[in-house]
Formats: sequence, structure tokens, C-alpha cells
Amino acid sequence: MHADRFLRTAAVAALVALAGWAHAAANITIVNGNAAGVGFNDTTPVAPVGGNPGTTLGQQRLNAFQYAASLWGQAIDSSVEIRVLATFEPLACTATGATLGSAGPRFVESDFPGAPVAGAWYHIALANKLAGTDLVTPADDTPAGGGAEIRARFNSRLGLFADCLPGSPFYLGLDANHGTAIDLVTVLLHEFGHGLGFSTTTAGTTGAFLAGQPSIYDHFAYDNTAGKAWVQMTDAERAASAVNARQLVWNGANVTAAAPSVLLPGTPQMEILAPSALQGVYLAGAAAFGPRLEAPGLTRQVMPVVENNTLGQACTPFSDENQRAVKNRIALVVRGTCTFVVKVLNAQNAGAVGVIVVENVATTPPAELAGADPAITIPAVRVTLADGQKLLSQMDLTPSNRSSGVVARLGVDPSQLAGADKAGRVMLYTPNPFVGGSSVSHWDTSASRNLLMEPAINADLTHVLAPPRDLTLPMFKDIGW
Amino acid sequence: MKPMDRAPVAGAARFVLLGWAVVAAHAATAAPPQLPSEGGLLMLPNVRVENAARPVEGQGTRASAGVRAYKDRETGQLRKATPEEQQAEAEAPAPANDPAGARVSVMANGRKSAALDETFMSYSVVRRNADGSLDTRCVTGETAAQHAMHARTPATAKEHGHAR
Repeated sequence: MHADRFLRTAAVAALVALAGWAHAAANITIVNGNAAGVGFNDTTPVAPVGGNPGTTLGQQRLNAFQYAASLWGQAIDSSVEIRVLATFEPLACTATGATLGSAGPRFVESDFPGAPVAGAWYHIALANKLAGTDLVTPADDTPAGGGAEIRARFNSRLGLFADCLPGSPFYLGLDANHGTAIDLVTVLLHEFGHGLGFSTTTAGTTGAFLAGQPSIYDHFAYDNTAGKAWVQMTDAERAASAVNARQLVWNGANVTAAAPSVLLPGTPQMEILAPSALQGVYLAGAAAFGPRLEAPGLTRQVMPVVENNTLGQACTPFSDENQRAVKNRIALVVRGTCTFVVKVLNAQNAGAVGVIVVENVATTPPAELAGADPAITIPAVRVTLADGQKLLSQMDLTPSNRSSGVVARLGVDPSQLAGADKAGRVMLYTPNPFVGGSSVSHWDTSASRNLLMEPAINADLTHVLAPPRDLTLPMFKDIGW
Repeated sequence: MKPMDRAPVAGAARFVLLGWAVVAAHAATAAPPQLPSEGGLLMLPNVRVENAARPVEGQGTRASAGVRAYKDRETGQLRKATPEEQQAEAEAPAPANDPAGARVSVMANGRKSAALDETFMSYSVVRRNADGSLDTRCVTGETAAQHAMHARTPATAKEHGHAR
């Protein structure tokens, strides 16, 4: 068989097989809302890329939409057509940043025939599935809306103009081979996920329900500190929960059952063993470079790197005093000026066996330490500014000081999945301060592997929605898909 | 060892996982270099395309959860947001999911329907700092987007890119 024909046959077979699994299938219609000559109708000639056979820019955009819709359509089940009103149009952007796109349900429904939970908002596409009928027909909608369940907009200028993230256009291939470009299919999968059900309709900043009713999402959002689900809380309690970093989790049976197959074991942490005033476990962001944190971890005395009588940034080779202070110990440095790998490499060259980087911005939880350098052989973590100040409160920053009395263990809790709580429930994104449009309606960024429904698109995402690669489908199963 | 082998899973859950694993495997193979197409447009079994009755570019309807991209200056790779970027995103004043942004109808059978409007739209905007660096943030609502464009530079350390 000719190779091309074989590939085509195999592709069709895969799609058919997918459509047959567990009878999961939904028909999705992309409603092209662009005018002639722009967006999906842009006639700029392009070469086929990554399995996208389109010969114009508009065709390739439409093919990427179709492909992402097809992946969703194979994964979820509904007897009611899902209509996505979509456009490519100029969205805000500059030379180094951009809006990639957005999507959301145009309607939410409650107390419809077949609703599993009374008094709860469901995204319209899910409500249609559960009701077995189209609850908002074109006749019920505005002429422009046409009864579409989802509205999606994407940036038509991305990477194509000097003032819009130049050099980083959407990758329009279908094979996830996007290199440093932004993979449109991945972004579409993420946004369709929001449009189909992965979001709350409750206001995170005030805790107010939409029209006095929770969304079905709120039945599964559970705060470990309060010991309550969002549906059990007052508005004030929900607002507090929305910024309760790494304490709001998804309490759904399907996600929790699937999490061990998706998330890696071991949540990064810093445990302070001495002095007693500091004893306890602290949140830590792991490093993307150097050895992976392990259990039980590295236990050593922590010594501050001192520069100009304050905690140092460690951007230059250590002084003799600092070398003597950190040798065979964990070096404490502050974020700033140079890359994390430079700081850690300087500490390593000075004889330190580990590094704690103190955040210099008042946010929580601590982000990971990004970067790459194969020369780094010692572990490093980032802690919050507040926790770093706590450590410093027990330390003497005199350069000749040789003992801090602070003993730390840098490691992981092997019983806790990366991105889940001790009960195995996957964390939702609740940074403090609140991030409008991102908080609550995403997985926490501590998840490892990276997940499709985290608030930022990570470069290593695939087009897979299901375990063992991703947790999106289990979440959908929890809410009724 | 595969992650799936690491932890015991209850019987029912194991069945569910097996099913998802099948989907995952198929999805992975569903990205071949060629799919059925006609005249440059894909022809997929469960997707179709139609043109809207009229163009709708620029018309506000409800959307949520704008996705943002952060690009590392050195490697060109996408990366996660820095704490400054997270903080900047958080400074926007407009609430997400403003209940006032929905139009609720109650049907005779008790069903409720809420049409969701522009106040739920998420924007990601970029701002140039006094030192020439740029901060990116994601905000909700056009008012917040304008605020973000002109807001004062946060008093944070001079750091750029993901790795500082």
C-alpha cells in the first residue's frame, strides 16, 4: 500500500475506533463568523504543515479548529449537536505578549429536565446532553448567536506583525510538533474545555453565586482548610477559599481515581527541623534543573549568602566568607537580577549542597525555579517571601557567621502526588492574590505532569485529554459528561 | 515503570482508567501527518463547518478564561508565569464572573437559563515598564484591560524572563 494511503487509512481507522469507544461521540459544528477575506477566510497562501492540508491561512485555521473539535467530539458523548461560533480577529497584543484567544459557554442552565443536581448551573452543551435536547435553539437566541453553545475568538495577528509577539505565530500543524511556536490545537483544546464545562460561574472575588445558584463545578470544589465544599460556604468563605493557596481541591471520584496514573508522586516541600520556632513543612517550588527532589531528601544547616550586609542574590562567584559559610550546607539566596541557574551554579561552585531561593514578590504558592543547566548537580527550591523572611528572622547576617541554627530538609513527600493533596484530590488554582479569569477554574500549576487545564499553556502538552496523560476527561466525567 | 502501575486503583476506577487509556492512545495516534481532506479542508467524521448568517467579528458575547502565553526570551520556549506576572494579573479591578453580567430567564417548567455577557470576557494585555521591560497580565473585562494597560509598574525587582 502506498505510504500516504496507508497513513490516511490508519488515521480514519483511529478516528472511527475512537468514536466507538464507550459510545463516546458528539457532533460539533464550527460556525465561521468571519467576513470574506479575513480570519477563517484569509486567502493568504501557505504551505501545508504538520498534517494540516490547508493551502490558505484561513483553511489552516479552520482545519486546526476542526481537528481540536474532532478530538473533543471523540472524547465526549452527546446526542445534541454542539455549535461553536468562532472567529479569528485582532485581539490585544504587543511585541512581547498577546491574547491568544478565549472561549466560554454562551448560556448556563439549571433545573432542566434530566438535571442530575437541582439548583446548579450547567454549561449549555452539558445541559443539552443531559436533557437530550437543544435547550436554546436558534429561535431562542439572538440572530448573531444563532443558538451556538460556545463562543470562541482567537487572535488573527499573533506572530504576524511586529507589534504582536513577532516570530511566535500559532503553529497550525496538527501533530503537536510546534517547537517554540504556540500550538493552536492545544490552545483550542484548552478553550473548548472551558466552554464545555471546565469553569465555575461563581465570582471568585466576592464568592457570590450567579443569580443565587452555584455551578455544578462548585459542588466539587472543596476547601481543605474550611472542610467544606463551595456549595456549603457563605460568600465570604468562598472568597477566602479562592485565595487559599493549594487548599482548594477537586473532590470528584473520577479525577481522584485517575490522578495516580497521571500525576507524579512526590510533592516538593521544605521542612524546617530546627529551631523549634520554625519547625514545620513549608511550600516549595521545585527546580526544573538539577537533580529531582527525592525522599527523604537533603538535610543540612541553612546558611545565608550575605552581600552588602543583606541576603545576597548570588549572581557572582561567592566571596571567601560566603564560601566558608555555605560549604556542605544549604545556601539561602534571594531571587533577582540573574537567572536561577546562575545562582545555583555559583552556590554549587562554592561547595553548597543545596539552595533555597527566597521569592522577592509577595505571592503564594512559590513558583518552580525555571531554567536549564546540565552542570547543576545539587537540588534547589523556591520558597515564598513570607517564609524566607521567617527564616531570616532567625539568622545572623554577619558575614563571618558560621552557624545559623536553622536546619532544613529539601525533599518530597512521597505519599503526596505532585498537584494533589494528601488524600489524592487534585488541587485547583488559587493563588494569592486572586487572578481574575484564572483562579479556581484551572488546575494548580504544581501539577506534574503539566495538565491541559492549568492556567498557562505549557510547551510539553500533547493533544491528549485522558489519563495517563491528562485529567480533563475524568473531570468532565465528574460533572456529568 | 509506568505511572499507571505505581498505585493500586479500585476495580471500577481501574476499568474507567483503562477506558481513558484507550482514548488517550487513540488520541495520540489521531495526529498523523495526513487526514481526509477535500480542497485543503479536513473532512472529519464528527465535525462540520458552516458559515454564520452574518459576520460577528468584534461583537461581544460571553467568553471566559483567556489563555495567555509567556515566552522565555533566551530559549524561545513557552513557560509558566513569573510571580510578577501573576501579581500583575491580579491587580485588575474588574471581577470575574460578575453576576450582574448575566440575563436570567425562568421557564414555566422551573428551568432557568442565564445568557452570559461580555463582563465574563478575559483579556490578556501587555504593558511597557519604565525600564523598557514588559509585563503581561490576564484580566477580565475591557475596563480591567484598559486599567492594566496603563497601571503603574509594580515595585518588584528588575527581573525578566522565566529564569530570574
